[in-house]
Amino acid sequence: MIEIIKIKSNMQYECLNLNQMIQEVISKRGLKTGVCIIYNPHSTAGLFINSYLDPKTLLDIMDTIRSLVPTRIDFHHQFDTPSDAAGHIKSVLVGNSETVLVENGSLCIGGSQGILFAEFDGPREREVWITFLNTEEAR
Amino acid sequence: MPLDLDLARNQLFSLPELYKSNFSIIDHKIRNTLNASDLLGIKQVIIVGNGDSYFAGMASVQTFQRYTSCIYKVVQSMRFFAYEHAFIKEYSPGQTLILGISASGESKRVVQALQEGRKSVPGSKIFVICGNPDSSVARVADKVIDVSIPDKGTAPGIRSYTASLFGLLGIALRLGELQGKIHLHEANAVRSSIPLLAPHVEKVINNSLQLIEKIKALPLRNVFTVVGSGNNYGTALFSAAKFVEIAGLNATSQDLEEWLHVERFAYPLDSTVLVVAPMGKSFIHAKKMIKVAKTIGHHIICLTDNPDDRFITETVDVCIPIYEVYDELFSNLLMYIPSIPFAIAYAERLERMMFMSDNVEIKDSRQALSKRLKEEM
Repeated sequence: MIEIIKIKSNMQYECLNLNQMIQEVISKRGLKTGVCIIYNPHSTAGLFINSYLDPKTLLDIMDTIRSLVPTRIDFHHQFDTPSDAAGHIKSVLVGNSETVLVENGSLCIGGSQGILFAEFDGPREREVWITFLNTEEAR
Repeated sequence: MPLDLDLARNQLFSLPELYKSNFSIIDHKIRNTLNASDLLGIKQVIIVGNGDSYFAGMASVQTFQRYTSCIYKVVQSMRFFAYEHAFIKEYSPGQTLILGISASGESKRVVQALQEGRKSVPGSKIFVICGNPDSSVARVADKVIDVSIPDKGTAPGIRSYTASLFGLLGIALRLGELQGKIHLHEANAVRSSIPLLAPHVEKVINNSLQLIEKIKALPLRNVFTVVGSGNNYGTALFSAAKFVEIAGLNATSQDLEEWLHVERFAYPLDSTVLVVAPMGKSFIHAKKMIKVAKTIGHHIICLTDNPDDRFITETVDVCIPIYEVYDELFSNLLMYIPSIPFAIAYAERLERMMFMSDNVEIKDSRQALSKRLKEEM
């Protein structure tokens, strides 16, 4: 069963930390162990795992992605906007899914790690889809 | 040859299908034709057109103001050709978009206006919205927005007016999303909503037809006025033109507020006034105007999406409910429709054909004049 988490970006470029929302899903389901797959269904956004502790790290990451794929007016894809066209490329570079282990009812990730939704063409209403494999429920 | 009222009826009843199918086609053409390099640097948009094309421009003023950061002007083509082209200010080249509108594509005055615009503002972009991409107007443009629609007869201009409104809305959205005034998904939400108006267009037509006998019963004096504000000043311009073209009425249009300053002093005191009154910024003023007009003795037909308003139900003579206008900005896409069946009803009452085509006394001179005007225009 796929769980849908609704999120909202407030800026054109933004990183949103999903740890707490995903943890709430795990707790709600009463899961003890399992494999959690997080999927981003949007083609102008990305999903990655990195440190969230200093917000400036995320600024560095987003600035670098933007410098690798600047928003220009001469993309082949003209039907939508230049920001949208650039967003598609950024999404490819960053990727759209992450797989994380669940142990003792908690996400198994590093202390400074966040599961981060990267918005490349906001602000927008977005979704993240989550499912679990090989689960064991807490008794 | 007399122009039968069925020509207008056929166009009227075909409108729901036009909304359902053709806005998306026109919008796709706009998005495939106009890209970021065309529109990013535009700071002012000047619409140039005649008749219904000019009225469509006037009915889209608030649309451009909402969705773009551009200065927006609408100028009749003769005025632009003779006067205005020489006074276009640019702070750097390439900031001006001169957008000609011509349903037939053969309006000579629009062609002349665009040519003068190119001479006076050499860096300007000249685009046209027209129903014939191989026409004279199209040939003088840098880019052509083809708003051609399936042919259901061309006179009077009803479907072509709708197509022009669609084209202007599509261009406003395109400008806005490319310039960052609105987000792509907001523009797409508007785009998706227009075909969904089709059943409401049908409801407006049916609501209007149900009230035809009440409309016919209102006294017909030698003046008939249509008033509106915002985008619906353009609606008033178009609607009045249809009462003239279809029924030969001496119909005029006026802004809601201006009627209180000027027309309230005009005879006869018991003429019929059609008031376009969507909920929104002008609704209170519409009610004030209706109150004054009724006090004087005029008869009021009211088009509103708030027909249950107590003042409206107690005061106006005939109220046509126009539902599902979820934003006043888009009321221009529905409020023009009742003028068509009402104009047809008046034409039947007066036993007239459209464009005076049944008047044998002036037939020869009228034909000669029409021919001459067609060549000139």
